Amino acid sequence: MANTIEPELPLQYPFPLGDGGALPPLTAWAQRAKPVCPVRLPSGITAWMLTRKDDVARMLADNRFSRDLAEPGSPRMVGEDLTSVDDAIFNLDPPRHGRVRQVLSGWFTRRAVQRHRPLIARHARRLLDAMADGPNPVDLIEAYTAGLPLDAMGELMGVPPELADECRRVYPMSLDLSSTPDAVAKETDAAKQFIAKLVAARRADPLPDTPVHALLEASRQGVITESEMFGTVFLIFVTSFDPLVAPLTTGPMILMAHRRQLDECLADSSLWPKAVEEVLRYFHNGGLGFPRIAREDVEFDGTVIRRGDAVVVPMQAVTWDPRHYRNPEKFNIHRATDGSATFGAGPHYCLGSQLARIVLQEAISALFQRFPTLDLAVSERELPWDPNRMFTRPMQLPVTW
Amino acid sequence: MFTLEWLAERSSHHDHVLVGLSPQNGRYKPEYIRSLIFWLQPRFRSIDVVIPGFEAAYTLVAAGHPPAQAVHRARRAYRQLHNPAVRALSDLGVPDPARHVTSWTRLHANAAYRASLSRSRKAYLTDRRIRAACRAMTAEVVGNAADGGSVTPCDIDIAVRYVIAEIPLLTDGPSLFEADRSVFVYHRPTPLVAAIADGSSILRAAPGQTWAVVGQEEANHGEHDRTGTPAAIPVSAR
Repeated sequence: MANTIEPELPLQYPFPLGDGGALPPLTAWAQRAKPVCPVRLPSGITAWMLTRKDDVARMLADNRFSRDLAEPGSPRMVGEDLTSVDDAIFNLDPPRHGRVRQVLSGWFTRRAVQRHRPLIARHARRLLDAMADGPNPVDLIEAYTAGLPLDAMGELMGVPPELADECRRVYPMSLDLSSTPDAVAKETDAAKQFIAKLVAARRADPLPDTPVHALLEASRQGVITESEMFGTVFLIFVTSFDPLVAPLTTGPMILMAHRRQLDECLADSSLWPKAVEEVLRYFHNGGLGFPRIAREDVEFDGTVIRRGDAVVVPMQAVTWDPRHYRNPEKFNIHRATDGSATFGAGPHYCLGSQLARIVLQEAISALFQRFPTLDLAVSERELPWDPNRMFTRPMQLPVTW
Repeated sequence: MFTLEWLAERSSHHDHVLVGLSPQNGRYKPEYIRSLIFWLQPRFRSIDVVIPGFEAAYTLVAAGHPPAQAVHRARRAYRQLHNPAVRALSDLGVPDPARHVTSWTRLHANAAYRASLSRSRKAYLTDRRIRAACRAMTAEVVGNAADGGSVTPCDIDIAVRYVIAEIPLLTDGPSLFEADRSVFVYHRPTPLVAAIADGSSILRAAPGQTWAVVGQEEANHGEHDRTGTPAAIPVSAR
């Protein structure tokens, strides 16, 4: 967007995407000119959008902004989505949030998740074997990036075989911003029904060393309520699938478009974690995050956010903030900065950030080690990005080798 | 110099026209594309042009070309169809002409296309008539690409993705291009359109979807096809 053109406020979300998944021009404009910017969400409500890293970090760590949106009538992106699920960890404020998080945090530490690398590598290998035997060219999403989270995370989360088909029907959820509130509510209900069956199955047939088991045990012992257990199982399932498909797709895409850096990774495998960090920095896996509500009046950059107002954050703006990232539009695996900021800040910092990292490291390195000549089968400009998807990515990634 | 033969005359309209360009037919040279668009555009309220995506490479792979070479040719063919179409629309004064020339790959950004493609794949797997039409059309395309060589069921399994990916354009033009009525225009009738249009398959055309065959009165295209140099993908007819 030219600097001289002032867009009409409030901005209408979803915004047109940036080329190849770059920061949307309207987000970049807001960061430059309107750091506290009114945005009309698809649901019709108007929220304040923060886009500067320092403002976002301050807001996310500030208890005056609540995550509790389970009450009917709370601000929504479209309709009754995952933020409407009672007592899910995502929707809890401190101190309840800390109590539920404590049940899971041991399973998700940096050290604890390392033991899952062989499982992820095994599923990656199996899918890549099938891809090698299948058509060439192929849509990488269909052949690999959509299936891997379903298979690997499905096993890690303990989806019983009799529910595997239903799991594949429910996830990834579309989380479609052009959807109607009714359709969103229906999608949420279908996922709740699946989770109810999963909880029943794992109560009858416990599977230790899974987050679901930890939550069931904590509920049995009275550490968390039944409702907190159910809502949190619901949440970890949403986050196990949908948000991973986006970086599993955009990661290979941008590496193929930066062949020299890809070749460096192939020559020196210690660079794969660096490449993953830069993928995480360059693309957040979605546009605007779900709203928070101000519990009292708070001032940011001279604008007062009133009690009851909704606040939203595009995390990609944070990792493209030129005050913190030099030439943020340049994809550079050798940056000194990592991708941590994409996972948020404060008490709701993404619980699965370390697991996401090892999934991406294992999956992306396995893909290119198996197919070192992998390349896009269409021009990068032809890739179909859908601005209405909550977790933004090309909807097809044709590749050849 | 062109004629438009509607599949059902009573369904003719002037709302939206969707022009399918084929990389496998020698007639789609820059001059023909320009003339066709210049002739059609003033006759309709709006116009869009569609070009096969990466699936076009499957026909060459099935015909025995190495995948990387097939993809390279398909990409070149895409450009050779895309650029004259955009230029023609631009010269006609159509605003934002590039937005009206779309590859099947780009259509995946549209949830209506994805849903329609999913229905089309299901129809291929479950409806005998749709399956037969898809396979017959695929066999012909691959046969031409193989220069008369034999086509096996395995070859058809690979390349049928190409034909299936086009089905949403034949059934759901109105929702894909936000029109009340949309006519899909191609240079010849196909068994797939016949199977959809007569209502005997599980694939249903959306309300407002129609089809027409565009003909050229002066040129002798039968001869042209046999002797002309195809656009980029070496297939003489589809």
